[in-house]
Amino acid sequence: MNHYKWILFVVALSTYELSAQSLQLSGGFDTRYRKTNGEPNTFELHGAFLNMRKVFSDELGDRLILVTQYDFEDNFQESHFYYTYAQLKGPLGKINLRIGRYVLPFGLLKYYDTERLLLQTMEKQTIDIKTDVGAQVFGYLDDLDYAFSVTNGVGLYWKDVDENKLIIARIGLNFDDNRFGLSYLNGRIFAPATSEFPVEEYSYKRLIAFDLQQYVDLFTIRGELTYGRVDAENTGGGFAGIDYALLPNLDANFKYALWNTGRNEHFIGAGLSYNILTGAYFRFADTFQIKNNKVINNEIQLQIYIEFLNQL
Amino acid sequence: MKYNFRYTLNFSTSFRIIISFILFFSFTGKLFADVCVWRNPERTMVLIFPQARDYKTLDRKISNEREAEIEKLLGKPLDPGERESWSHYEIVGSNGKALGYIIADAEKGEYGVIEVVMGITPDGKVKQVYIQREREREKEFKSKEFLNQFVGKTKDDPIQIGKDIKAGHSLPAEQVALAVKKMLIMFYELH
Repeated sequence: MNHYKWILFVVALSTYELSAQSLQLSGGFDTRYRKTNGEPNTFELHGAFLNMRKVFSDELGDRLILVTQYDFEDNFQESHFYYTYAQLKGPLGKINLRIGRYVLPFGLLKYYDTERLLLQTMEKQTIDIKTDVGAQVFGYLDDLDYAFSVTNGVGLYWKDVDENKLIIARIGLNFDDNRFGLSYLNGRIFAPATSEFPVEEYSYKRLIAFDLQQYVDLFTIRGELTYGRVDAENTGGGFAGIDYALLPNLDANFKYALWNTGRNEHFIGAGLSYNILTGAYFRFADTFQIKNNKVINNEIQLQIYIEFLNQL
Repeated sequence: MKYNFRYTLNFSTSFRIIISFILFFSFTGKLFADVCVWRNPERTMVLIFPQARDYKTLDRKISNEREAEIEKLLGKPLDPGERESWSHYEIVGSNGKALGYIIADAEKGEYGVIEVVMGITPDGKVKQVYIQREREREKEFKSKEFLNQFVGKTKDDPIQIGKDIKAGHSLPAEQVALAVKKMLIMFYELH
């Protein structure tokens, strides 16, 4: 229960008299029906989260940002901090220091986290983990952004259980309708067992990735190419995702991903996303995982996703 | 060596958490609120205020009375997510004084959300309007000729297509004009 103390700590800070801004509270529910090969159909509250954000300012600007998000998974059977960090903000965001658990700035993940979407990007294949505990320096200089992160490389654990660090560096360019990034990752990663991936494993990774996001009329295009070594093996892959606006409230979503660790593994998915009301979505997706020319997994998912926002 | 990093909750705990979530958000009336993410705020701020040295977040809560007053001035109801609180940003110059303010708003176009970012001078006039993100087929509303017409406007101006703003009566153009009017009214009422 020690982690709940962090929530209490942030709430307590929110009542501190010198705090300039209100506590922003957001949350969401992710309800899913899933039909997967060889498994019973499930209908569950796949996830729920509560996010708190607090900004402290001085005379000249925002200086300290505290953020925490607590996630509940699988009908509240499991729960963990998705991220919890303190961020010291420099003038105009040119330099920031973030300490705690945060989303890793590698590839598309820097700006696009698919945790609550049905069509996922490639992090489970490329870096195994999405969030980690450590320190990150990042910032923005005109159209350029940069990030340098040193973390424990142990995912959802808090302690550095393998005493190895994970280093990530990313540099990116941002324009009105497109964004590019080049990332480098080096370190030993411990991927803990989860309900989806029941085997925990260590691996030493050195990866480089190029990512892009492009808006073209009714299309949003995202891509990532990754190449490097996992332990002693060369590996690589790519991800392409396209969202297309069919109607004001209806998007068609497509993805294709390839990951090569000796043999090619393909991930293909298509779906629809309907914006029912502000902050409420109905989504459908059918995804295929193909290995050795065989479909090893086919999953159909229906999702109702609701977001909340409040200020205390 | 097995490490435990997740908690397993029993049914009654889970039930209490679910009920707490629902009650909290229901009683505070914030269901289906819009969680809008402003991408690259620093980049947009420098585009509109090149002399910016830093920025300060300013949050305001909206009372029921103030909400009614804003809706009266605007001539239409606020969207869900706009009724309870409002955030804007003070842009600070090198001498520590406010250069102006930045506000972001999202309105529905024909093919999704149109995200509008606007700079306001300290005396409450539009400095610049910037379309951050849109997916519309018709692009006239993104032209400099169209957007420059908003510069210098205040909340007392009509800000209507066909009156003081020249453009075809397309939904995106109407929605950008609405966003500008709404942000000016919110600024005057809540800043």
